[in-house]
Amino acid sequence: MRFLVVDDSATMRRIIVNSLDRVGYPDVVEADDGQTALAKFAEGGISFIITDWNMPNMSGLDFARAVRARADGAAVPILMVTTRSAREDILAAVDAGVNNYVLKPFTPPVLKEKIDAVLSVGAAA
Amino acid sequence: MSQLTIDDAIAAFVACEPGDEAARRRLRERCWVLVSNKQLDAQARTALADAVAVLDEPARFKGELEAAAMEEVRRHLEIAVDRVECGASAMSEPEPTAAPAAAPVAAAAPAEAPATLTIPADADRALIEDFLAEAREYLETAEAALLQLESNPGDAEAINDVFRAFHTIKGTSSFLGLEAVAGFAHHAEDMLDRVRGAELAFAGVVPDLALRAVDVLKVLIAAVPAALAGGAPALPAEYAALGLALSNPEQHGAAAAAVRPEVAAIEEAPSVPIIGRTAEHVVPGAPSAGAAAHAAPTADPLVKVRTDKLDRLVEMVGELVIAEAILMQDAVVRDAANHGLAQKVRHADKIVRELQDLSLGLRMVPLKGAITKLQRVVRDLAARSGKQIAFEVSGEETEVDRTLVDLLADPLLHMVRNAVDHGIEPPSERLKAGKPAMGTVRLEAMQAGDRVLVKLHDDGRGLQREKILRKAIEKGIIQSGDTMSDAEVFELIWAPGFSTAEAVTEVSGRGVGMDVVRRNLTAMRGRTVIASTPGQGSTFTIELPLTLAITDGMLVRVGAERFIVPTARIQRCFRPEPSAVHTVQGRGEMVHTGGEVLPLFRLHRALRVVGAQEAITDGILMVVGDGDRRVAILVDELLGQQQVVAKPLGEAVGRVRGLTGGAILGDGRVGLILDVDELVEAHRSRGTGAETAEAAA
Amino acid sequence: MATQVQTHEDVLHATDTALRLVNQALGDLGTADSLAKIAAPMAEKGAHGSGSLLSLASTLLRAYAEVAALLDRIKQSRGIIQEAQDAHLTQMNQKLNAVTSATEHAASGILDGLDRAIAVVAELEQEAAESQDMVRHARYTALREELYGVMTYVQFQDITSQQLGYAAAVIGDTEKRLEQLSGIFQPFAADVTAVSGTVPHSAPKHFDPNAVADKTDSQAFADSLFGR
Repeated sequence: MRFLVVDDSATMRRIIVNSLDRVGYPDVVEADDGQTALAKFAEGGISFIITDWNMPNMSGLDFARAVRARADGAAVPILMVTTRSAREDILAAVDAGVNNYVLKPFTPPVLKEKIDAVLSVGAAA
Repeated sequence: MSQLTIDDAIAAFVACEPGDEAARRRLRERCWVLVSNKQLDAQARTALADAVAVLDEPARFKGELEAAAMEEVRRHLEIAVDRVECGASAMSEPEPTAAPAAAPVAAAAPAEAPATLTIPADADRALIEDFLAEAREYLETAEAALLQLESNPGDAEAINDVFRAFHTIKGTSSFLGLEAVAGFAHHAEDMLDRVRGAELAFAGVVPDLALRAVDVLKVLIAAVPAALAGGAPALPAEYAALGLALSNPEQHGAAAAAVRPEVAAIEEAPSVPIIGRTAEHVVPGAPSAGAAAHAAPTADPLVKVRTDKLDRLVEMVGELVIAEAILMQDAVVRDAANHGLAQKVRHADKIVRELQDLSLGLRMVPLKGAITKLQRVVRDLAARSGKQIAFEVSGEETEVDRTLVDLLADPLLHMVRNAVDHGIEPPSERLKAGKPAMGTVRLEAMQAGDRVLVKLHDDGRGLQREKILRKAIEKGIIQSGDTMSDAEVFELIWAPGFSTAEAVTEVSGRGVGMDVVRRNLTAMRGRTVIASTPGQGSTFTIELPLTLAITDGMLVRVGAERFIVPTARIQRCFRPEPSAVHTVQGRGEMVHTGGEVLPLFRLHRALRVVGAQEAITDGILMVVGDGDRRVAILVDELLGQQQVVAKPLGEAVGRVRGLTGGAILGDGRVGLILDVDELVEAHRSRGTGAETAEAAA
Repeated sequence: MATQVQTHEDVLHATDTALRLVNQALGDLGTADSLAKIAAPMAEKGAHGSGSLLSLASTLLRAYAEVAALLDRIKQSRGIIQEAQDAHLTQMNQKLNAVTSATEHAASGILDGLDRAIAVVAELEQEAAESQDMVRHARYTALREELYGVMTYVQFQDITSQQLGYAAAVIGDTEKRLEQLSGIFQPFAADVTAVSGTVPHSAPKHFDPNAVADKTDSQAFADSLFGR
């Protein structure tokens, strides 16, 4: 199962990739903004996206919308990992089509819990 | 060999309060039995016959006449007593059976005591059954009085209650030929008589002996049906030793206490039918009569009615209400031309409504029966675990539907056991924590609107989050509790498999897990709430509707169908803004309202109703459920509140998920009653609740 | 609140108009007509009585003097504003950027160190397992978990850098505004334009102004939306 981790902070990417590795998902592709991420997604093979919100060039929100607009991106799980905590922001993310939302800072168990939750809902549907 | 004596007639006379018809009947029966006793002095029998004659004239006991009539009965009884006493002293060789009650009926040594409970071949079954019900009531009263005496040993009235129970059971069982019961009751009566006469202090081993006597009598009474069925049930192990101890507490009491089986009473308790479980039931003659808390059951004019008859009555009244509602809606009746008819129907309507209220009231019984038993459980559990616990009860007179009293027994037992075993700390630990050594377990029952609240509070250590989590993980109920709130962690104790049947059996005698208890409660539209503060204790709250027969409902329209939503489950209704709805990936629609988000539940989709509103802004959202188990239900229209008589869906339809039953509405059509919890549950597990239940109408 | 900051001409024009209105009002006081107009509401209030018309005139004159003095002072303070802009703000912005890159550097260093430490611990763990020393093995496992835990705390860097980014943007914006403000009072500056009032306006925005460490409520809100 290949993950796409999108964040402009190299530190955050390292931490997310590291956490993913620990909870059993070692296969990860990285991108540092929405545009790069969209290109990586278009290459195919991505089965789970974890994205930041605030990024230069293309924000995570626009990235999520762009993925959802693609025929091959309608069903891919998107988890947003961000510091944006306002309720309107969370609702905007929902409307953009993200499957779950984790606020920074997070712990690996929380990350795993959200990934599991998204995957289990997907499996049941 | 033991028979009814003149003393039993006197006791029955003493028990007669003005207006107490049942007590008078008991007196009349005893007198009559004595009249037919050929061994009794002839003049005494004549006097007793005179008393019966007076008692047989109901007209003489009406209102103010009663006092004079009773005075006449008293005079006849006096003559009879005089005759029996002088006859006994005059005769050089008195008939042993004519001896007064004071003579030892079963003074036999323990070795000679009967080993089984037998019933004479010619026994009157109907009378015995009556006796069993009566004996259970007396024993309940006696037990309550004994517990009362623990805190107030000088309460003469309570001592009388206990005495009366033993005395009456002795008299009647002896009359019915239940020798084993009569013999034992006699010993118990003797001891209480000595307490009553200040000859023996209600202290030391005495209270304990009295309580154990109640237990043994309960076991004996419970064994009678088996004996009636032709069996010969063995007497309780304690029977002989306790009988001896009762007849001579000063000498044998301590020895009996020493051999006392430690948990026998606890294990036996559940097998003893308690008020809520007996086949028959006491119904207060008048609503206020039940309030006379302390008096013996004989003090209120009571009528025994079989519960199945009572249930049938309530059910029939329900049918009547519906039939009448249909009639009211009939075009002929509503036609203004039929003015006279309409008036008559309206009059009938008024009577039917009153009848409905009345019949529902008939099934209401005080919670006391279920609570009395708990006092005993607390006492025994505390003694066993070396804890000091004060059990405070308030609101035990709160009345609820009979079926709900039964339903409460298990959860209450679990809650109490939990509070005593896990809540209250040992005295040393309490002192260390700066609390009084004696812990308090407080049970409060109260009525709040059309709901009954039963709260059990303990001032112990509180629920231990870590301990519950560890156990839940151990049992495989959850993987990790890191992200769970306290409330969610506490909820785990209701999870299937959390409390093992083994642990539960110890007290309740039934292998019923907490999950079953909880499910039963939910099925009866009840719910549970747990609150706990570390170090300060926990409060368990059970909330139940007052009655199951009537539901206060909100009538709603979805397409052409109408449904009833129990009003108690509706938190609020509102017309949503289109921007309030957000579709969450993999979860479905959510409504954002007042700072919270609730799953949106389109009722017409779940119940496959066609022609309903699709646009959220054209409908109404109803917030139902509690806590994080709430959903916003979309319906087309609110049609108003009304009381409905809930009826189970017919056999043909069977159990439908999401519906609790149906009710016939004013126009004669059926409205289905929604099961809010099931709908919420289905929605939670399915995500969208797309195919929960099918409209059965 | 997209308020428009007026150009210096607008401001000067408005002030001039206001002063002229005051002058006119003072001149009008002399005519009986306007005296009656002003006196009527004042008499109703009964606050000062008709005799205080003269005090009204003196109040307005004093206000006139105050406004004139204020305008004068603002013109003088232009120099101070320019100084603040040049020296302090620019410097502060540079400092913030330095701190941000320093934390980035530090975080990266911490992560590198952790990576190396974890690798060493993993090696020791392996050795302990091979030598069947379960106690030591358990200890190394615990230590490795601890190091992983530390790693997740390095997220603070991302949060602080977003906060610093926000602070830097606010300072940058303030700088622009001050520049504009000083322009207003520069009598012959021609190139002054109106600026948008949103704070901060620099795009693209790749920081979260509300990035903080404690957001339990918000996570709970998200959880209630997405379910558990």
